[in-house]
Amino acid sequence: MKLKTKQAWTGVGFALPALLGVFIFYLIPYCISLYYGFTLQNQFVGFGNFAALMKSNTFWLSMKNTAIFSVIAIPLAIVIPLLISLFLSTFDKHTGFFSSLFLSPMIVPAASVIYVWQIFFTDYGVVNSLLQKLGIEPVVFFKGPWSMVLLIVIFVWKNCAYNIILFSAGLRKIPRDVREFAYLDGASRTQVLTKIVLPLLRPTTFFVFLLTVISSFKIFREAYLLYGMYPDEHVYMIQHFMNNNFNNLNYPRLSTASIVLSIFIIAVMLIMFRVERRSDIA
Amino acid sequence: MMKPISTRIRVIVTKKLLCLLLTLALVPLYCACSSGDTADSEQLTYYYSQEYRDDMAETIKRYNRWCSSHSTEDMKIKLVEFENYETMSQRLNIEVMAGGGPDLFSNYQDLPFEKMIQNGAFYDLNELIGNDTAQDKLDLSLYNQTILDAGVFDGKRYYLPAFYRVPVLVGDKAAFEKFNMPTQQGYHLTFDNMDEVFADYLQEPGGYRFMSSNTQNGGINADTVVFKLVNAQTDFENKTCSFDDGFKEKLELLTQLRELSQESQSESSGVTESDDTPILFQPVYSISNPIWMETLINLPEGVGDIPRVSDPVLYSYFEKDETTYSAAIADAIFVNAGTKKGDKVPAFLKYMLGEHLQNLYTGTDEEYWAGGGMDALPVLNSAFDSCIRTAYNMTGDYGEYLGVKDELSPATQALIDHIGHINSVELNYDLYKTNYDRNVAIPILQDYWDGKFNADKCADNLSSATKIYLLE
Repeated sequence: MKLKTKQAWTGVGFALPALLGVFIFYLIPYCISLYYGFTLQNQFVGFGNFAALMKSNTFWLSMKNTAIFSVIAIPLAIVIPLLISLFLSTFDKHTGFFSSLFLSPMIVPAASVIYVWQIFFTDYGVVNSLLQKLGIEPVVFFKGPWSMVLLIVIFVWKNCAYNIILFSAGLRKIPRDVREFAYLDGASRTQVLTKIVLPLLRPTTFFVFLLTVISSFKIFREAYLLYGMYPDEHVYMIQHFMNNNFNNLNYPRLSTASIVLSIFIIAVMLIMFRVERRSDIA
Repeated sequence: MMKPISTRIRVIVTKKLLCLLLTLALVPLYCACSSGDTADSEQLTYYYSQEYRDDMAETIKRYNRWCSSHSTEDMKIKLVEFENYETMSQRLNIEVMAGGGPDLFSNYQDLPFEKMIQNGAFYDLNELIGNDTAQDKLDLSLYNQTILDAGVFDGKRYYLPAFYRVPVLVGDKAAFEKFNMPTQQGYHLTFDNMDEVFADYLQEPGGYRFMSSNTQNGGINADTVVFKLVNAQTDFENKTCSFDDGFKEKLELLTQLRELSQESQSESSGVTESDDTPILFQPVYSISNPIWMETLINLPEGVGDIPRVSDPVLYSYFEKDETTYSAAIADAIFVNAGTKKGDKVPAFLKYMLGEHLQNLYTGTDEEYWAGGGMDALPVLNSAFDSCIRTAYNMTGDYGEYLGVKDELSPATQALIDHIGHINSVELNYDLYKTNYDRNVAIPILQDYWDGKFNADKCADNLSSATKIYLLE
């Protein structure tokens, strides 16, 4: 008992710096945001700020674009690395080399990456020059729906490597015997994949999903560097809305939007955890 | 089972230590929140930086001296001085974001005023002035209503202008004749007729630069003409914009003129790198005060390196259309909606809009060069009349009074006529400083000028970004 108490306090002691950080830099500002969300010029306005936010066309535009981006980019950033990992797992050697190679986009600073992408995809860039030489109409990548495509491609490209490493590690944890027994029992490759590999890979997939969702919120860096503060309406993301309202010193709207967004993210995360737990029980 | 006493004591002590640690960790936070907090001061506060000219800070200094001499120390305004502009700007932004900040703001600060007005960040000055119980209550009917009402939105007065400027262009008649440009005084140059006016000049610039490319030149240069064109496509009040084919043509023409304004030009364009290169529109004449204009026209040697224009002709400064005559606010005061010291504001407003200061800053007072004003116009009608009367004064090389002229030069007279027609007022004279231009227009235009895309794409990008900006 004595030992347990001592261990508990030691644990608290070690966790304390992190807890303090969360308390000071997350919880207190969040509470302040809550206060601003319900006030205007230091006067309580109830849900007035929320009502104004719901009427904001730009808020809904940013939500729509963020949703489109998330629905397309997150699955792609999971499925493509999974397929590559499955492919790499068929090799007995040299997978480490490929994994390291794929990791390079993560190492290069965002600004440098964007500079290279600009060289490739501007109106007079490499890609359009090639298209023109092939007799194909040049594509305006920085305008219209193509701007979203470009952003998704950058996101998938940047996150592929890390997810490959995670999936590869997850695949290595699955014992070869299990698969070999399945093949001996007459299971096809598809059956082994869907009935054995993917279910056993579920914890890794969930972890990859969480990291990719978090990473998707960081795409603003690339979007900002590529398209600026006021981009094409197809790539005006929720982070643009927040950042611009910050610059415009519109703190009630900023606070309200951050509260709505945090509630949404917490809800999505809770659903995902519940789904994960249920599938574990099943 | 009860724990031994020694263990319980140890747990209690450890808990207390942890609580103490938690409390200590919060100390820096509270210190950060309270450091340099000026909101609790009994005085009104205003932030300014030494780095850039801030006439509002000068006005406040004068006001504080006036308060000292009139035994109204409690009405003084606390000036919080910052060594550099960036620090001040950061502090202002953080404090305003937190619902605080100084009590007074001015358009010398790079704040998103248009958006802040929408957000209700400023006090309704009509309410403050109306609540003033003093006998010498501010009578707004004595002022130029067109200029003063620029600060009125939806019936609320969010700022009070003290001085304004009327951008005009002045060039030499001989040069205008050389390029077959109109030579009548007060020619109404607009974005619609500029292609005709500059057709010959664009064909053969003849060694003339178009205008200054110096971005420090009081808000008028080749870049700001383009910013003005972009702003003219945008209806900020009704939140609409139109960047059509006509805009693209005008943008291309103005970009040509902008290139002809660069200090270093290739020989092929006909403009040389020589310091003596003549300029079609002299930047020093982008001055709206008739006294200043008259002085400059009559100075025998010109000002600094800029030669005197022997036969000046005045044009309006690229107006939106035939009916628009625009002006821009030079100094305006805003009051923080969160201020608890609103009762002290009317006294300062009365001083700022009072006869003494209005005359002083526009050059009709004995302290002729004081305050750094001179290039602006007063909003007080009587001070404006006095300004025109003073323009008739003949002065010597050292500013000594020599008598009264029978008539003003035709260019100055055209300027006065132009001022009489003002019907459109912008908050910022310097378009580099407006929130829209700084964050939306300039980055896109800069990319266009850097050759990243063509005029079509530039118009598309401006249209898309402006729509979002207007609705945000």
